Amino acid sequence: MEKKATREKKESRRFAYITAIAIIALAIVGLRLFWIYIFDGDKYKSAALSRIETDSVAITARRGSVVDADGVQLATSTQVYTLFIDPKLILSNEEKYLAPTVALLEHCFGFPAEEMRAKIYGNPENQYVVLKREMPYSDIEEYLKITETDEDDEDYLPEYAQYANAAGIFLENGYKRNYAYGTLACSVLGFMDGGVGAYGIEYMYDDELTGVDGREYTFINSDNVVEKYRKEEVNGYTIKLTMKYNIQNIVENKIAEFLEKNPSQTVAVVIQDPNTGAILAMADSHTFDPNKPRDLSLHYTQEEIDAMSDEETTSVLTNMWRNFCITQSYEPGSTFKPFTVAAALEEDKINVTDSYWCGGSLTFLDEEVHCHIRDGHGTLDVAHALAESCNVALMYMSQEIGAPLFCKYQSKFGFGEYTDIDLPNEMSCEYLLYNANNMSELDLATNSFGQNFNVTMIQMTTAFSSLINGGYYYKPYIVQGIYNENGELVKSMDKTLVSMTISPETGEFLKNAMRLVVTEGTGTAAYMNDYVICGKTGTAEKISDKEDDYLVSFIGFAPYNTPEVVCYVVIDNPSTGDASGVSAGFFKDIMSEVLPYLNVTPASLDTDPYPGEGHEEGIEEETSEEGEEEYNEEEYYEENYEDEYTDDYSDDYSDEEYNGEEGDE
Amino acid sequence: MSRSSSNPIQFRRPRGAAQEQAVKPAPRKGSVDAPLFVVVGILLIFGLIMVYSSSAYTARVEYNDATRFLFDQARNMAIGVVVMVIVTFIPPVFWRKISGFVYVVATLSILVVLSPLGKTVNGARRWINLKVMTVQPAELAKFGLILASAALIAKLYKQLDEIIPYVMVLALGGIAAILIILITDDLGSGIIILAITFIGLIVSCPKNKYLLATGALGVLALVGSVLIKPYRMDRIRAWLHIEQYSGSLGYQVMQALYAIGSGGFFGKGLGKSTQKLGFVPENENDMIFSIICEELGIVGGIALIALFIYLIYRLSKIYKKTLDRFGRLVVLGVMTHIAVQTIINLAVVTNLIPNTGVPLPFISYGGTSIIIIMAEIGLAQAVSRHPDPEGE
Repeated sequence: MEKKATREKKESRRFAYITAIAIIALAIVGLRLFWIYIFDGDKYKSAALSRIETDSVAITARRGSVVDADGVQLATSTQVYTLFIDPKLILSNEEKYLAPTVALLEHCFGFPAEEMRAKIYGNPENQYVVLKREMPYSDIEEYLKITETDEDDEDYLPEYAQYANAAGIFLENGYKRNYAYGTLACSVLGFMDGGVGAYGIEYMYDDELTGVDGREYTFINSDNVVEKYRKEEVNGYTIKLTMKYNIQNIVENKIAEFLEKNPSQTVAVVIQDPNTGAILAMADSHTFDPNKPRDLSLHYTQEEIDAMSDEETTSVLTNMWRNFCITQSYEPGSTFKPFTVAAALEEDKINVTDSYWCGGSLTFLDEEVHCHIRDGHGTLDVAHALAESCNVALMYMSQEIGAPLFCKYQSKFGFGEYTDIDLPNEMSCEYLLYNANNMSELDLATNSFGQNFNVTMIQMTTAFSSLINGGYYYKPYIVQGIYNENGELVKSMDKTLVSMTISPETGEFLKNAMRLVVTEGTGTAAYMNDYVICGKTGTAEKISDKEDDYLVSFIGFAPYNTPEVVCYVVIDNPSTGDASGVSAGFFKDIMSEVLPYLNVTPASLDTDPYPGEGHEEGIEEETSEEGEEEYNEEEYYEENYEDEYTDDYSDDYSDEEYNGEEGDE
Repeated sequence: MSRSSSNPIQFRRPRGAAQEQAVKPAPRKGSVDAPLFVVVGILLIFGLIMVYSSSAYTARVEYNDATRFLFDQARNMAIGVVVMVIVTFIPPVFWRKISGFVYVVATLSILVVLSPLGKTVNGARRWINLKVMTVQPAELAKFGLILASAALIAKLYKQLDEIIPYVMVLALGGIAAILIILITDDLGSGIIILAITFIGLIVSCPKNKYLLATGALGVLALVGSVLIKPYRMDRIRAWLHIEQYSGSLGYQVMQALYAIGSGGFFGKGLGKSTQKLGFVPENENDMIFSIICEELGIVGGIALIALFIYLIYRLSKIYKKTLDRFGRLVVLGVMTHIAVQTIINLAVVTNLIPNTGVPLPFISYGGTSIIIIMAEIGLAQAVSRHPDPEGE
């Protein structure tokens, strides 16, 4: 009993000790709280605060799309994922994490296990090792399925258990720019370089396309209460072009076909709506795939690429990326002649009834300037001077105009000035033109037929549109509207009248003369049965060491009555030399597909001032079909003016006057 | 007139051998310990509020339902209360009879984790999925061990100065602890199980050298457990150099310290924690104490600690009034379980010991753990109702 009593005592004493120890341990925790508060409180508090304040998460806005006039998505941004691993984390518990992590990577993404192990062991301190970029959602679906399924979920599979300890695999989301049609409209669209738009629309409308990144902030307000504030991201705006996918596609295919047959340095085409200045297509042969803008393999073999120095590569790339149609200057050649004639007529320096005798050349300042027919054209009226593209007649006209007026008209047509088209890197050619003070007689003479000064394709096209639309010079544009992500219109662009260039009478005369070019002049290769095609050929000799270095071109429009389409083709340094028939034929090639697509008024509903005259093909057919009577000119013109000019054109326009002129011819 | 003389039933426990010899008291009818119920009730309500406060943000973000954890926890607590009341009215002798069975079932349930029924959460395989609910066998094992070690110590009480009975008792806890540590990788629960057995032996075994040897063995086992799992060593390093590891292993505790430090003396006010906004991992679970300190300040933290101390005091009152050795040891086991688990949890959150995750009794979000703890309170109440030896 004695023993038991002591044991009982011992027992209760020990129990008391144990209870005391437990209570003391808890009290220590209480003291520890004071300790933390007194010694580390401020530090921890500021750490917690700074942690909160700096905690803001960016929410990337999606870049807007670029769509064509019909809504075809030319450039889009799709969500993609970057897969990266954190080897440091994985190796922090190698035994537990490594095997399942490697197995999961192999299972979901197909990375060989050995390679992954090497990557993890090779970067033991790294916390951000990218395995794959720009993965589409479909590539990460399996991974998400495995990692986001819990055991109690319906679709949980037992084999997922082996990946339960996988760690250190992360996905970051972002957007990838995708150009669904590859090289299509590349010069217009531009591309993305390091997240920023480069060249083209991507550059010009970068701000609108980018949108505004959102951000989620967590912060503490003055009452020490946490608040969350989410600044919603604004996805980029959609840019809607005036360009039409189908026309652009036709043009680019035609360029490619043409190059197959006639290797040339550059082939470029601009198609514009002359009644608004809207660009319908714009392409050059220096194509690239905006999805991989640095890939030169479209134009060079691997050996050639390897042989390039860095500077050469840069220059080749720049040449490929830039938009030839607005950045390249060149001497326009005879396609400029209508502008000289327009100036002379506008200033009453010549009369449409005037005739010129071409003996093959004229001499200025001891320099003999030849016509393209060395033997001379003989006697020509103004219209035939254009149709036959007689340099001598044009030189005579320019002498009538004189340097000051000639320069004034160049400027009036926008040459030497920016057209302000909404595309980047436009060239003005300001210093590539003469002015009234430095223009010699010889310069004036050569300028009259488009040599010895420079223009760009967009300048030519836009000015040409004003010649045939009644004198309205519209600012060229390629973006017709900006839409937000809900499809609401944010900003709409319409035609912008910049100035009036010529009178409608002069315009009608030029149209008529340019029809003559196609029916019997230098541009018969552009003749089509189905449409009344008009235009002007051009062959410019380039200042070059090379023999036979030419730039051939054709600028034309259809239909005759109310021009709906202007198309300008330029072929730089073709293998065929100076044959301007090449450019006219190429123009026809394009128009034969573009015009039906655009539903352009066909010949049967159009006016042809020279029906059935001197061209090679299909003339009998046409005349027999239409019948001579129908082409009674007077009737025709009357109808004509009522239809098209009463509404659009100025009131002071007189039908009779024009008919009179025309009657003279 | 003294109460004892007017009442034939003596409520005061006889003190000393002489009294015991002189008065052989008739079995008394005890009663439930009302303050124990009250303190448990306060802890539960407090826990529920804090689970809601600390989980609402994460629940809203992850499940789009701020009350998800609140209702889960309320359901678990309701089950716990029912279990507690039922257990309260089952005489301890029943538990004594089935203690061996409970122990075996609970210990075997640890092995079930390895079967396809086993469930992994946060990379730890510690649960059994029973479709209706998930069960943590480590918690069942604690309950089973409290009963079994109490029963075995009570039975072998007189022989505990001999090595074989002593080792038998020790083996009881040792087997369960080793299974838990090896299979579920849950060092915290293993330590609690060993503590239940060992403290039972401390009060019951007269041989100091056995106890000292066991203590030494325990330290060796702890070192061994660290050596076989290198990540435990990393946790010790993270504990010693918490700020160096604040981005990796020490992150959880570092964030908890930020929470405590930024709460200050009176806290930011209920519901105004900033650290719970996704910074403190498991904030409604093992780390809930840090959110309590952040929102209610040191005052709130101390108040909670005081509640736990009072709870332990109530249990010690039951222990002291109980004559039945089995009953007493059961109460001691319950006390040990609650105290050790509370101390480990709070010490981890305040970075006094290396990180080993155990929930805070009554407060942390959890199913099995809260129901088992409530059942144990029921056991203590049952003992309180039957303070004298029964049967035998």
